[in-house]
This record gives sequence, structure tokens and C-alpha cells, in this order.
Amino acid sequence: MILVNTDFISGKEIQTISLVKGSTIHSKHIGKDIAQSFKTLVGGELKSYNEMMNEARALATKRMVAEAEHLGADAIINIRYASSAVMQGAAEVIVYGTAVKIIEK
Amino acid sequence: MNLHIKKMIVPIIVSVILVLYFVVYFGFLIALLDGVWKFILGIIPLALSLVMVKVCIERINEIKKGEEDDISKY
Repeated sequence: MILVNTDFISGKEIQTISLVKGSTIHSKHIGKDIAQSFKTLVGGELKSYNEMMNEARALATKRMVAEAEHLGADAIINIRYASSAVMQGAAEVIVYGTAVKIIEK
Repeated sequence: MNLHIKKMIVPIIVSVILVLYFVVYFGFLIALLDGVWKFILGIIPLALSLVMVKVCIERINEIKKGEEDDISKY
């Protein structure tokens, strides 16, 4: 599965199938939340939250790809990521794009 | 003064103040409470002070590794 954030795939002709998306909501356990709260007092990277967001992005992407594969797509173009806070310490990541079929010439 | 040392001053001061606060709080709990409660409740400020020390050390290591604006290289 080819994943790109452009609206084309270099050297390929494509046929649009449908919008596909994947999403997830992640949080860390209270121990990590407390440790990261203390980290904000001294500054620097919040590694646990960074890991959490990386995991969330990977899972959301996997779900989007699964939806595209179910539709018989070869690639997803125009991929965009978005995130928002759902509650204290929990973030939603949503990824969406256009599933396309590559037309063999 | 070296930029790294300047950046370390505030995290160290904040950590020392908070650790002292938790240790004094732990001391009060030990002095005022009786029996097993002094240990059960005393564990909490001790654990928080250890977490504070850990994040301070993590921050100092980050500063030593150098977090200067790398984007200027591009």
C-alpha cells in the first residue's frame, strides 16, 4: 500500500475509490501522567506523551490502511493527520485520505 | 557562563525546592501519625520526591546532549 500526502503518485495514473479514515484515542497511566506533570516544572521533552502520540498515529494509520485494503485500493493519497484532546491526558488522532486504484497502462 | 549551565539552574532549583517540600511533608506525617498509617501515607511524598529527582536528572541529560535549534542547519 502506497501512502502519500500529495494528490498524485509520480508516474502513475490513478482512479479514485473513496475516502478512508482511521482514528484512535490514547492515554497514559496515572504514574506517567504524574511524572510528565513534574517534567513540565523543569521543561524539556515529554517523552511518554511523545511515545503515546507516535503509537496513536501508527494505530490510526493501520486502521485507515485496513479500510483501504477492504475497498481493494492500491494506494492512499492526500493523507492528512489531525489530533485533539478528548479529556485530561487523553488525545484522539485521526488520519484520513483518498483510497485510489493504480491503473496499469 | 556556559549556555548549558545557565539552562540547568532553574530545573535544579525547582527540583531541590520540591524534594525538600516532600521530605518535610514526609517528616510531618511520620511525626504526627501513629502505627502503620505513617508508612502507608509516608510512602506517597517519598515516591513523589524520587519522581522529581528522576525527571530532574532526565532534564539535565537532555540539556547536556544539546537541544539547540538544529533547524538552522537546513
